[in-house]
Amino acid sequence: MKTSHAWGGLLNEMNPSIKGLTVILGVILLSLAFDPVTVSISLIYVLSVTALFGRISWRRWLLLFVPFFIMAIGYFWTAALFPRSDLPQDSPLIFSWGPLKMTEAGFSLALSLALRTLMFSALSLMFVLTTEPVKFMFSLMQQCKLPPKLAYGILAGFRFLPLFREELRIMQQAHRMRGIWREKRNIRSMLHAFKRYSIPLLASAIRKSERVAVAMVSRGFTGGKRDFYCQLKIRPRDWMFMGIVLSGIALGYAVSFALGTLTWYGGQL
Amino acid sequence: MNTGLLNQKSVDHRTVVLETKDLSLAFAEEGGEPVFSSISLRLREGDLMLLLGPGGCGKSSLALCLNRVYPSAIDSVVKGGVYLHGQSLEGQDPGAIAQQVGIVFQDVDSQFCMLKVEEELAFCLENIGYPREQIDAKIDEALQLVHLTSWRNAYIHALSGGMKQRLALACALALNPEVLILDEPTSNLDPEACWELSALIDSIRKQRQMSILLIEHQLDAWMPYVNRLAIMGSEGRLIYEGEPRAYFANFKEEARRLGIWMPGAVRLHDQLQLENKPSWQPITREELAELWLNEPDSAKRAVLQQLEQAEASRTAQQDPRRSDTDGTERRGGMGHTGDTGDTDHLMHIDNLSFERSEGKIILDRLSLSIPAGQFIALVGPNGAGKSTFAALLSGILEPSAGRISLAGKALSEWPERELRKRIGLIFQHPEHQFVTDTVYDELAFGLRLQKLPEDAVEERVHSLLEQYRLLHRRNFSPFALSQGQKRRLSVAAMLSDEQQVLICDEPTFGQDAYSALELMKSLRARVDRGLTVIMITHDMELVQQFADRVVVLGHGTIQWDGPPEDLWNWPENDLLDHKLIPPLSAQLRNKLKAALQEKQEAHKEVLL
Repeated sequence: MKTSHAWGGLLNEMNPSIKGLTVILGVILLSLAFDPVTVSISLIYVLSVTALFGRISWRRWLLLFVPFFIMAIGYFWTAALFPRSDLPQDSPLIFSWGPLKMTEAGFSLALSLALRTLMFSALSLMFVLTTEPVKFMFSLMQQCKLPPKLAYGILAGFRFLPLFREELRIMQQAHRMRGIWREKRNIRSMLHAFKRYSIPLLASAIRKSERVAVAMVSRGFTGGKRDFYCQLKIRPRDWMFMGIVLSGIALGYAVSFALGTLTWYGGQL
Repeated sequence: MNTGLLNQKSVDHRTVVLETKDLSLAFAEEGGEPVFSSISLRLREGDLMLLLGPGGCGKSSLALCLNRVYPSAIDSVVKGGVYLHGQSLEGQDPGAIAQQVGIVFQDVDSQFCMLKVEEELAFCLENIGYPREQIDAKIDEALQLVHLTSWRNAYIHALSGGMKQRLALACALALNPEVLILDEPTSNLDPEACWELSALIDSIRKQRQMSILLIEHQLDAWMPYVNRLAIMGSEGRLIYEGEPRAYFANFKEEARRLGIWMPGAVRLHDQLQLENKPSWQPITREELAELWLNEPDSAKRAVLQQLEQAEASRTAQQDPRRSDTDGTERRGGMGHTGDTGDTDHLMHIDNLSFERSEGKIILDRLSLSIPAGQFIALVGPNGAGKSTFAALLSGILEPSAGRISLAGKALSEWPERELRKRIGLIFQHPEHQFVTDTVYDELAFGLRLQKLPEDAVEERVHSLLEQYRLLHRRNFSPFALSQGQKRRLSVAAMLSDEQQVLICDEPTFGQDAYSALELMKSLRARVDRGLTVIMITHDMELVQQFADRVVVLGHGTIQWDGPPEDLWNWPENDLLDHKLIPPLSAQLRNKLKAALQEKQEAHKEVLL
């Protein structure tokens, strides 16, 4: 318990750019393999890294993971029950029900596809849930030389997202007060509704962005070179961490190779 | 008292900090018509200059010219020059200008670009290349100045409106500007936050010898500190620059014609009709009270009588039935349970509670009855749940517990179609309720839904357009109107239906004096026709002038319910607890009463 406490926030404190790079490298590396063993070992590894080193809300993690999980199940069943015609036809049958047949080869292919989906979402969630957007932008500016004009623009926009949701809600209520429900419901009125909501939302987006831009300029923002109060440095342990994650994926490859199950990805769908 | 006037005359040699010479602004796309032209202003050291003008005259644009956002960041044609200590700002880089001219805007939500308080301040300091090692101390200093020290790590969206404005002020001040421009900084705040902010800004101004240009509609909180006045006319020209007192003493008619907001003290002083009225013009609340308190007792009594008479006549004229309905109302108002047979009471709210999905309790067991033909003002601090209450009353939110009934039937049992004919709600931001492409259609929309013949619709719409001064904009898109016009349109569109209960969320927000008065009159006329209006507002002058009944909301329940005159008899500290500040006439009345009473008691003691 004590140790997990000491490591608990390592992932959160990691330099966001290096973390992002780790995730991208991980995705690229794993997209080369196409067998259930490599991917499942890496998946378990990534999940345990997230659990061990990340301080995250598991409720949110589940909430975000569930859609991917459902998608993976969908992938699995379609790929397993309606296999591609170029699969070996002599593969042993696992079960059949009427016209539906599942062969071993089909099963393995479907499992690979499903696991890949889960793997990529687990890697992305590891990044998304342990990274503050502001720090990420700072890191992109400081390590990756992202122009401040763009980065601060994105941050300002990020602030507005919840405001827009709120605005749409109010607008729906307001239109209801005006008596919109009294109109007929058909495709034409649906198009009308889309226009009714999108124009004011766009108008307000433009006005808000204009105001923020004016406020930023008024506070001396030029978008030029700047020195940052909040310095995000790359420390040795960031590289170490990248090593830990990538070596886990390498481990997956090694085990799979040793078991003789390693298959390279060849464009299967 | 005349020393004030002399003082200001004698210090006119103070150095000019900011000066504009023949400044004019035009946008190329609007046919080159100037927004304003030939503005020559002088802001001296330590000045707090108030800039007034009718809605849409270009005050805010002028502010943005002064810190060169026009023309450097927005496409526009600016002629003439802006000089700081005699040096032209033209061609200077925005970082350098931001250190000389700071600005605080009206909209509390769209002037920040970071998520946390500390980040926002660091952003400002980084912009001007402030040494990194010193930023930490500088942030502390700036937060201390605006009393936000303990909020350093807070998220900006979690702050109240007043705190956000203080943060905006801290951001501007962190750059040590010599000139501060305030563009309607208090228009989104409740009265207390408003007085707090003005006092804070004044103390910082004195401490730092700053010069301030203020654009504002709500003047009372600022008048004690204002020492210069500039007025822009409707054509975007400067028509006055000088002493505020002299202007309000001599040009009241002009101000009224232009629709310029005047300080409450000026308006009230003007209304008092007395022989030998002192010719000296008070412009602040304090001055007005002091003026009359120094007059002989007979004058005091006469004023007091007038104030009380004005109140009484207003009450009598507003609702002849009031005495009896309100009598039962006040005694049984709180905790009234819905006896459905009561025809006098249109709506009953019984033990209403509302809880947000995250578990925060907004309203807690609130009960209220609403009769027909009453003008009810709903007041209370920011975040007290006034807007939520309005949404519940109009049936667009479902209560967590309790019941709201209209004519004896619960709101949820009413078919939507019937409910909308009976209860209307005007939202805070007019744009949210526009549903058509032109101003004309917007007004016709409700009438057409009622299946009125087209010629009747045309007639009604035409008269509405005329009444709300929108005739020249009839073919415009609602979104292309000015802020004040949008507000008028949204109200007109809602008023075209004859709902029994109309709820308005800050209907006068962002209006000039003339439009605000027109709007209030049309709401009042509705009430006099026997319909009920419930108005959410922060403006106690409006409450005093138009409302029959005030409901004070706070801590999720009703803190007070009764006629406005009685509310102002509360001790001022209790009022302050609910972020309320009594209107000027009530304040003056109370002060005069207290003074007369004191005298009487002293007199008695002497006799004894």
